[in-house]
Amino acid sequence: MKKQIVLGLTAFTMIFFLGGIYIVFSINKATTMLDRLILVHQVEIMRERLLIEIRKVQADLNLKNTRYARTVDTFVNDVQQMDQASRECFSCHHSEDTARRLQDMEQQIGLYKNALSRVLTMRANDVRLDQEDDNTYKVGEELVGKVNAMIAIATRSLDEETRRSVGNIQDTRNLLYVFATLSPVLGLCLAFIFIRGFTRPIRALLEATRKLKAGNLDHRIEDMRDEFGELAGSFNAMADALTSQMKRVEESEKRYRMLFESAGDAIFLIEAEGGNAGRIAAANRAATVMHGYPVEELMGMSIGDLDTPDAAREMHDCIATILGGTCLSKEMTHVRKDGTVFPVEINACPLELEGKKYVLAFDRDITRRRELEKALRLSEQKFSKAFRASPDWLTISTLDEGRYIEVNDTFLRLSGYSREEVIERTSGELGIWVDPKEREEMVSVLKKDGAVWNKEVHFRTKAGNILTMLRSSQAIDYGGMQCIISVTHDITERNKTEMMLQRAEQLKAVAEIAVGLAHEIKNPLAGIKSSMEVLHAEGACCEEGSEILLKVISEIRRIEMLLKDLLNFARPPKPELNMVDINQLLDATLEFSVDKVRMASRPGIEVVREFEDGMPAVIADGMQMKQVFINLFLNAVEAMPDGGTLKIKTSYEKAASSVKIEVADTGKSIDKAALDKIFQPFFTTKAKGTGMGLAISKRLIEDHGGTITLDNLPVRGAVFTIRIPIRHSIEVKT
Amino acid sequence: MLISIRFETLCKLLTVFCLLLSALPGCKKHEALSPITALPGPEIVIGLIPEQNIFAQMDRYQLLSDYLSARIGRPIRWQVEPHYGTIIDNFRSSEIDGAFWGSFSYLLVHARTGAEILVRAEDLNGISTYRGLIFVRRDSGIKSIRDMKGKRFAFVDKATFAGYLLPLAYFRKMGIENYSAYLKEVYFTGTHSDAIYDVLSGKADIGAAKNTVLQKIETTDSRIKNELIVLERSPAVPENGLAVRKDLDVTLKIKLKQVLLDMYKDPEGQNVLEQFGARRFIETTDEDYKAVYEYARQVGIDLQTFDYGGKK
Repeated sequence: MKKQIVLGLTAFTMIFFLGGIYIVFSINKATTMLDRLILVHQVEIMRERLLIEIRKVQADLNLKNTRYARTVDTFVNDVQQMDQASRECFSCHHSEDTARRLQDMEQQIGLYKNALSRVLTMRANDVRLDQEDDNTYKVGEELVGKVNAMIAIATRSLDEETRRSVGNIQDTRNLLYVFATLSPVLGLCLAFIFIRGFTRPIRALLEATRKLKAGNLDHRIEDMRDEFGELAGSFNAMADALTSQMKRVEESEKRYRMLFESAGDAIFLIEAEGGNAGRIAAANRAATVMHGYPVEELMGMSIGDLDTPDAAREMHDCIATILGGTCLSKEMTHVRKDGTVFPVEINACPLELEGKKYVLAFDRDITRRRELEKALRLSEQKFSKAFRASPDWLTISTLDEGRYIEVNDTFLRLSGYSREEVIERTSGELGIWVDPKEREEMVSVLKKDGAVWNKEVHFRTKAGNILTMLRSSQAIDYGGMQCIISVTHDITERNKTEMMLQRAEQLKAVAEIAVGLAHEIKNPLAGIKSSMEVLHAEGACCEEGSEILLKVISEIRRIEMLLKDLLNFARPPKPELNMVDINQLLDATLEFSVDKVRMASRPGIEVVREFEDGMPAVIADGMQMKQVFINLFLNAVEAMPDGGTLKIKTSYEKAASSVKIEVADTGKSIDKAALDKIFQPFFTTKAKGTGMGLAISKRLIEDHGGTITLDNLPVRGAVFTIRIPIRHSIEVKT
Repeated sequence: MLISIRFETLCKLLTVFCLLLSALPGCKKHEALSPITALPGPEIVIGLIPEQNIFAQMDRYQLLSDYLSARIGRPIRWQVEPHYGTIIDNFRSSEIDGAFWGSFSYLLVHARTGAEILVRAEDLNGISTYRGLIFVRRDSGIKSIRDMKGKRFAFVDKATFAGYLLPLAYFRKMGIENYSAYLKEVYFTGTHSDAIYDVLSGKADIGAAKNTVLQKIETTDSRIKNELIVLERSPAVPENGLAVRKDLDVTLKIKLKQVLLDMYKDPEGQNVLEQFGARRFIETTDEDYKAVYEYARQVGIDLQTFDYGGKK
């Protein structure tokens, strides 16, 4: 159709354009003809003028020798006028024949002019002059004849030209009349054809649309071409689409009906406006089952009839809220037909159908869920209690970062942190892991196996103490996060005890061997000693030999002492327990020791006493305590060969219910390796020591249930710290 | 869409349409030559002697007058008279301001009015002189003065060197005292060309004229070469020159002279000179006419009293 419109418009344009061109051409042709006519007239006039000019010159010539003769100037001027008139004849285009005639005429004019000049200039006798005049006149007359002939030709040509031009103009006028008459008729015909071409298919389309509107979806338009053909195609496609759309709608409705009826939740369509607001417009099978009403009965009821009286009062507010555009989601109670009340979860949204407003509500019976929730709550409570009250260190932390989410009281107590310091922080930030690699290993195992059982780990408390612990962990999902729940048992004390037991066993074994050996050595040694003493007493040897004997006897005595110490350590005498005032005991020991120190020529030692008053008495063997103290004092004095301060301090530790005795010197510090071994038997730093003194001291203190430790002082020197528990009943560790 | 013709396209169509209209057949109007603008100042009138057919003479000088008018700033008009004598009379009565004179006519006006010669033309071959000739038809049988007895002689004018002074000198040389009695008929054609044509056509037996006019006719008419023979030649005398009144404004005189001398230097002037049949104008003084003076003296002409054939 577009093509036809374009063609039509082009045809119209061409008609008008060609018409316009034709008119312009016609006018131009007519004016050209008129121009030509005028030109031909001009030619005739020009030739007439030439003739007049020639005649004027002829007249001048005739009058020359009369008394009416013109002046030479006039004569010359007339000749020039004639010449000018003849030149004008050459100013237009001419046919070959005319051009030839004109040339001939020009030659004749040339001759005439020459003759005229002669007539004017010549001075001769009359005969000659008359001849010249006659000759000139004759030439002039010939010229007149030629010009006349040309005028006749021009007149003839003018007549023909006029006739032809008038005829042509008449033809053009007639053609213009025809054109002016035919153009509108042609335009009307074309317009009629176009309009017909438009209206027919439009009528067919209108008819088809009406049928479609009436529900006849099977109607199709046939036999149309061009754009209307395309439009008809589109119409048919639309009808096809409508048909398939209808089918889909029907299927969809069927599907939704099935979904509606087979849904597990009760679905209600409730009227939301007017006097019937709240009336159930539709309900599915689940609704009838859930509430115990048959569907017909439900359809007439208000949704408020299914609510408990409290809930029913809020019904209109709820509907208003939903109509306001908010989807409602709440838990309520419904009543069955038999009167039983049950909890429901309601999700309701507004819905507009055919201009009417409804509420679409989904009700779910949540009785079972409620029960489960209750059980879960109980379970949670139990877990929470167990978690908090556990004697083990329990934590819940994120898997990747180790960020603490929950920790129990035991954790707080053992680590020394407060809950606020721990929660939301990572173990890395707190520096809990002594070796972070332990955590990395644990996490990788957890990621792989999901659980780690009884792994020994090392934690650092806030105070900096290292705890050895056994840790069992499990990866859990906690609130959507990957977390670790860990149970950590402190085995620091257990480890220490185990070590001590091990040591005790070792010592016991050594002691038994030593005692056995000492008994075996003791008697032969006594024999050897007696023999040596006899030999020495009797002077059986030379002087040199006597000195050697004395040295042997001295060494034997040292062996005896060692044996005695060994026996003493291995099988100490059973302590005789009494109430002992430590301060008094120390004083007494110091006096004895200082004497001994003096005897040992060690004058540079200053003794400082810092005894706490009112110290409670402890139950102990006074002699054994004294032995321990002496040991310590001598040890201190030996540690200060160049003199120093021996400081003895006592204090009562009420919280631990023990007495503390500190013996400090200002001698050289003890290296770390020696610190660990100093209480072991046979360990000594002295040249002549047996290495039993401190071992025995430790044994004696431990027999009293106390402890003894050695630490280096900050500047120089070392301090022995003894703690003896205050006991109320006498019992001795054997 | 195809219907929505763009404005530019419309313009193009209109242009094509207009071109079509303009190409339609029609008689082109001939533009009239624009008239020469009249310049302020009084008209200068220059006389022309009828050296040849007077109408041809006027045509020859027309372009020169246009050129001079434009350059000098005053209108110039030629005055042609049928007789040399009339020009001399007009000059003497101050009706004209100057004229292109033949060599003898200059001598006459100079002697009587003190006319001042300014320039003369040099032809395309660089020649600024001419000679007078006496000629007869080859078939006339005239070979010497003896043969001329009882024949018809066509002179040009009494005031011409070639057309009268030469025959006078010739007859004197040949010992003929009264040529009128010796010849059958003597008449004056008025122009050199007519003298030649009259001999050619048999209207006269003997003729006298300028060689330059003869040469000019010879280029278009082969009869000159075939049918004429020259019996006598004069010595070379200066070609026609412009002499003006003695009392003419000096500035104008100088300007007129200068314009004519400089003509050959500008293209328009060259064009006019070419039409005129000259290469240039050269300066000319009374001295240049020495030969003519001598010739006239020999003939026995008294310049002051010689009857040149004027009316006055």
